[in-house]
Amino acid sequence: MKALLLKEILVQKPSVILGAFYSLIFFALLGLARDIENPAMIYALSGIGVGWMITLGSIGGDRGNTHRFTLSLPITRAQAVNGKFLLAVLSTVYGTACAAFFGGVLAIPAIGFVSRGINGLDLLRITAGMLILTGMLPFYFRFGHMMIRYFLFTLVGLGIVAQVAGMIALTLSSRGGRSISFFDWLFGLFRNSDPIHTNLVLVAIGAGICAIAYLASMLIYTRRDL
Amino acid sequence: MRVLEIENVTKHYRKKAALAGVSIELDEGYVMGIVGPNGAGKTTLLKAILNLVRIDSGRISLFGTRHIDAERATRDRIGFVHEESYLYEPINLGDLERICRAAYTQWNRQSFRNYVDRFELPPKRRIKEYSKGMKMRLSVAVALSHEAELIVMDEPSSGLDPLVRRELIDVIGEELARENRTFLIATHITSDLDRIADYVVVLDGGQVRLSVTRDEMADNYALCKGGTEVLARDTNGCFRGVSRNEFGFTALTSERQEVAKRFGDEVVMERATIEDLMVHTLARTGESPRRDGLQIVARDTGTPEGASDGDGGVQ
Repeated sequence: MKALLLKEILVQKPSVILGAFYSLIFFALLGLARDIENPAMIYALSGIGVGWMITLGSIGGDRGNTHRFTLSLPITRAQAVNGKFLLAVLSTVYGTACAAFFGGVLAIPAIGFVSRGINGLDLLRITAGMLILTGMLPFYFRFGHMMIRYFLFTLVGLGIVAQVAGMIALTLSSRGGRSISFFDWLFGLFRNSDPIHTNLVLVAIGAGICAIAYLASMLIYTRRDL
Repeated sequence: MRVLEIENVTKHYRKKAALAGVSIELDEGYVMGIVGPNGAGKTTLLKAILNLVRIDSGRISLFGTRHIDAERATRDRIGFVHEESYLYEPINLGDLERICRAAYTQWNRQSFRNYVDRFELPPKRRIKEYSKGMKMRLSVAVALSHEAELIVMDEPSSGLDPLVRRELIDVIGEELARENRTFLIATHITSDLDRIADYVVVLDGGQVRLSVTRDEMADNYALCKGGTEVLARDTNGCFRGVSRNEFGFTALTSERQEVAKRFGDEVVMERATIEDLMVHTLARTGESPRRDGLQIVARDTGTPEGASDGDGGVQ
């Protein structure tokens, strides 16, 4: 496992350093910004983004079938799967730490840096987001890193289609004629419910997806011809 | 000690058989060359040994243990050189060494440094900036720097210039001087094996078509040339892979003495190279080669000379 993590760090060294640097700048700028409607949510999403930047970077680093070399070292397939999930966890921790530090702890009013009031619920949301997104790892273990790109493109594409279609459908159905964003509607569902309950449900869904993704990855990768 | 034992291994890709009942045994301290045309199943066989490819049936044992059991421990004792470079290209040689040092229990830094110096590999440059020859030499350096007992090489000299190929063969020759080194080399550049192979296996269509020891080759095999009128007589199956041209015929024999006795000066015999062995065993024109479904044996009988006696070493 030590060799695997070392490999992830060394292979991704430039992108990890750049990612860490840009994420710090990004969070710091957010700290300086004012008039953000829902800063805690933005911090939470950014935490997920930072975590996934590292995980996706790691997947991209495996281009060129380097897993064949990895598996010619004394490393088993199960360890390779564990390594990827462990990396996802560690990058979540990093993303969460960034969000917590800049959004909840650091507040230097003298330079205009204000606390965004990140709380435990926002951190739960980051964890849930990270766990849900591990759902794409079985695709990586089955089809390789290229498939993840298609998967992400498809996901983004479907999101846009859902947004537009949702806007049309919701606008047509609303008597007042006001345009309603699909995601506004979606988040509205959560807004009206108990936040603790909602976030715990999200984490539970994420944990379920992650567990299934882990088992599926293990099943796929230990049986796949490389 | 038996390093590798492959028993009746089969592997299908969809419905096509990549390996169809291959059996091989290899003992410590020997070099086995696996030759065959493209698509013969060489790479699949080597990948199966490392469990990069799952076999459908049969059994593979490494150092007396089933290859899928104690995978980590057995891989620690194997050095594998892939046909292409699958090294981590964004990093440099020093970083690669750090990863290997963390992975292998017996990483030999001095040995690696020696190979790096000998192969003139630039330590600061990223691996993706290396030439193909450099990447192959780096792969060899990694495979030979962790006290591996079995070194498996898949087309190690493919695409390399003659100087690098010669250097590679020299390195293998030097490594063989060390007591516990065993080599399994798959290639279609058969000349690489002429100098070093103790055993030669001809693989085609996922089956072992022929297996011989180096001394069997020297004693029994020969490339025969003569007039086509010879073929009109009863050849008693002495010739395989007969090819005819306007001057006569060329064929391989595994019965050198019998041919000399039967045909005398009518047939000229030359030393058969591994290429001759492969070409005439797998010949698809002229007379059909003898397809006797032989299985390889490289038994530990002290020396390669005694590894088989005629076809006696063939299962």
